[in-house]
Parts: sequence; structure tokens; C-alpha cells
Amino acid sequence: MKDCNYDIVVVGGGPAGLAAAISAKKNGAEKVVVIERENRLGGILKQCIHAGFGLQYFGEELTGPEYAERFSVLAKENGIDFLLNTTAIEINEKTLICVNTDGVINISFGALVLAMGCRERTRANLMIPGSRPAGIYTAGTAQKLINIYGHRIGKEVVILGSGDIGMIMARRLSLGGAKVKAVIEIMPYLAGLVRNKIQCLDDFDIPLMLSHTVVDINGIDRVESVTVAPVDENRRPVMEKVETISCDTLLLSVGLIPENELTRSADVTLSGITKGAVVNQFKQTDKPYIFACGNVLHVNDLVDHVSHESEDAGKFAALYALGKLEQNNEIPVTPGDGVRYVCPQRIACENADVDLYFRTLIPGRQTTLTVLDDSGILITKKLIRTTPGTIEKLTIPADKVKKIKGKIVVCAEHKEVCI
Amino acid sequence: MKRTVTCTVCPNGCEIGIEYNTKEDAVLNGYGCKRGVSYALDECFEPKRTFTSSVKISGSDRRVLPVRTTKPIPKSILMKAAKEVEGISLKAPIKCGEVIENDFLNTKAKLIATMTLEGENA
Repeated sequence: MKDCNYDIVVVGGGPAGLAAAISAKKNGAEKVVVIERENRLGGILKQCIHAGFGLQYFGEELTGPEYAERFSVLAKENGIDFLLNTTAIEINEKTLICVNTDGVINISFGALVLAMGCRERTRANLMIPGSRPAGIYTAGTAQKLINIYGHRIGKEVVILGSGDIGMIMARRLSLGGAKVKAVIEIMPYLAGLVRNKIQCLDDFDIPLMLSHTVVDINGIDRVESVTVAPVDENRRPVMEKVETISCDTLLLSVGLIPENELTRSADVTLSGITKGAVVNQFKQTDKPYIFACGNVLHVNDLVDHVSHESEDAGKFAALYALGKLEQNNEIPVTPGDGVRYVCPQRIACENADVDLYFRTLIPGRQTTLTVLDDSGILITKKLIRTTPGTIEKLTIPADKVKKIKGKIVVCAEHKEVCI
Repeated sequence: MKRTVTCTVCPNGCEIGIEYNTKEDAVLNGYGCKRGVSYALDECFEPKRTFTSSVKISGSDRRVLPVRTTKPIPKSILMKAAKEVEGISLKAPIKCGEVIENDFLNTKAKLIATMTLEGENA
């Protein structure tokens, strides 16, 4: 394939990239292309064969592959081009450099949408000591081996981390005849969604060990056991109280990191907290021709949120490429008490609603969420319960956006803390 | 009987209190919608789950095809369902939504493919 030019280039053919591409097309971009390194569209959804997707976006419960297929069918119907088996390697001003079996391709663009998703934290990230036997997998790798390649990975399994993928794999392994002996979580509360604890752990009588961690992995050729210790309030293991759990497999479900190597090549400013780009409500980075959405921007809990956010990214990227996105003064949005991060990190005060997505710091009940500017409270919302595993959303209505004074701060206050 | 059920129908996760002797006299509180009421009653009297798994497939670049039931089936037969699908072997091409079994384990739920797999020569 020869060098070419597109109005919109989208990097990544997962749920974020597909939603952004379709939305760009619908909002006036004529030539749109999606760059995908694998041989199929759908991204991580291809291996998420469990149900629970689409309840918000489609109003029905779908599996990951079905959710992805709906979007890839739409993308094809909308005349979007695809470059499969192609890796984007560098952004050079307004050109994306890609490589595939044909060689190097330079694609120039009006606007670029980054939708590369995220990858898993590994044993190396955690620096777990011990030997290096076979049988240690990240939860997502195990998911791919089982759901895409049809392999079996082990008979007796311990899972470190109570992230959603780990819990979902606990159920998948149990149904496949394996014994999941424990899910071990260093924090005093669950990392993932409550629904997954109920359907994946409680249904199969799998114990959840909160405030515990793995301090050693034992075995030479194959994992034979893990050594587990409770942790004190500073998350330091209490070595006097260790116990050994025999197992042949250890899964790690210990967090996800947005995959931003490409973003760095364009010198886009990244957030130290989300590890994704710093953006405004248009999902526009500080390089105005680069937009970002989905898990490469911030790790989401539900794909339904990703679809909505990515539609915004695609829309505003299209408007930018068409010269229709006005650049107004922007004000900062920062996390206040009880909030870990807010995305977007800045907003332009336009005459339109602004959605703020954020995570709370600790779980609690009877939570009051508040958005303030320098003159006081703009909006509040009360929730029965919030957890850091769930993304919260508040919308500042258009009439209030116009009148914002100073900066925006988002706070969360629990009546009852659940630790 | 008195218990609290965390609803899993949608991500809101309402905590539904339920007090009952029989299904008919159950008193519920804390639910956000009607779906929560039927979920909480089911959870107490006949808990159900949507079953998802994968089955063997030949004639495709993939070795397994993801499948699901079209509605939740009794939680008590999930392990039996997992055993049942181990015996299924299909041939590509197959379309997303195509019915594999019409009445899966006598539950009135269909077992369907959840991904389109073209044949190898497509």
C-alpha cells in the first residue's frame, strides 16, 4: 500500500476506535481509516466472551464479541477503511508512520484519534520475589489462551488481585473444572465491580482474602505453591503470619496501564494519575490535532462508557479536521477531596453539556458527589454506594457551563466509609 | 427469612432488602426498578445466570467459538452446562446469533454463537 491521506486516522480497532471512526464519519469526515495490529476488529472484546456488555448502550445484555461485532458491522456499513495486521509506530507532526508486510506506510491526516487501549501490569511491575516457574499468567493472557486458543492452563489456581478480569477468569476456570483456591487482594476492599464478586466468586464459593498479598512463588519447573501474608495498614506484609497455598497456576489481575508509547512519540502531555493523555471535553490533547479515547485515555469499568466517550472523540476530531472546532479559553478540572482523578482535565466553556468522568478514592455509602467552581456548588448527586472500581459520571448542563468562574473541582464525601 | 441481595441486573448495583416466608408474601425495599424486584425474588427462590462458554470449531482460523444462552438458566445447572458444551463440535462458517441448540438442557433457553467465523477459504 502506498502513502496516503485521510481526514481522520484512528489507531486501534477495538470498541473505542470503532465508535470514534463511526462518529467521525457521521459528523462529516469523508475519509476515515482504522489502523489495527491484529487480524480482526474488536480489540479486547474478542476474548471477553462473558455477558454483561451493552446494558447501558444497547439496553440489552451482550457478550464482548457480540458488542464488538455490532460496531464492526456499523463501521463497514459507514464506508470506513481498515488496515488490519498493521502497527502504528510513530507520529511525526500530522503524519502517522505505520508498518505491515508491505513495508512502511506514511499516512497524513487532518486529525488523529488514539484508541490503543491498555495492557496488564505484570509480575515484574509488582516485583514479586521467588523462582520463575511455568504457570504464572496475567489474567488477560489466561483469558486469551482459554477463550481464543482453546487451551487449558492449570488445575489449581490462585489469583492475585481482585480486578474484574481476574474474577471473570475465576468463574471461567471453575466452570472448566479447575479449582480456584483464593483471590488475594492487597487493599482492604474489592478492586473490581461488586456484580463480578457475586457472579464469579460467591457463586463458586471462592474465598476473597482482603488485605493479603503474595510474598513468594515456589516451584522450579512449574508453580507448586504461593506464600501469602496479611498486610498491615501501610500495605507491608506481616511475615510472622504467612501461609502457603498449594497451586499449579498463579494469575495476576493487578491493574491496567494505558498503552501510550505512540502518544509519547508525539510529545503529548500525559497525566501521572490516569497514565493517559491530558484532554479537554472534546477528548483533544494538547496537540490540537490529536484526540484520545477509551482505555488509552483512562482505564474504564464498562465498555458502554468507552463507546459514549469515543463517539465524542470521533465527532470533535471530525469537526477539527473540517476547521469547525473553535478554540476557546480553557479552565482546569481537578480532583478534590475523595476523588482520585477526573477526565477531562480541562474544559472549554462552550454552550453545551460537559460530561465529567471520575473515580472515587475509597469505597463508601451514602456518597455525595459535588462539582464546584470558584463561586460555589454547580451540581451535586447522591448515591447509595460508590467504590473506586466504578467510574462515576456527572454532567454540567450547558447553561451552567457558560457561567463557570475560575476552576472546576470534583469532590466525593461518604457518610459511611467502607473499609 | 430476611436477607439483602445486591442486584446485578445493571451497574447501579442496588442493595435490595427482602423479607419472606413464601415467594407470594415477600416484602422488598431498596430496589431502583422493576427488574430489580424480579431479580431479588429469583435470587431467593430460583437464582439464574446467563451461561457463556466456548465450543470446538473446525474450518476456521480459530479453534473455539464463543457461545451463550439466550436467557439466564438455573444457577444450579451451570456445571452441567459446562460439561454439556464440551461435547459440542461445530464447523465454520457460522454467524453470530446462529442457534446451536434450541432447548439447551430443557431450560427453554437457546444456545447461540456469539461471533461470526468465516470459513477458512472465505
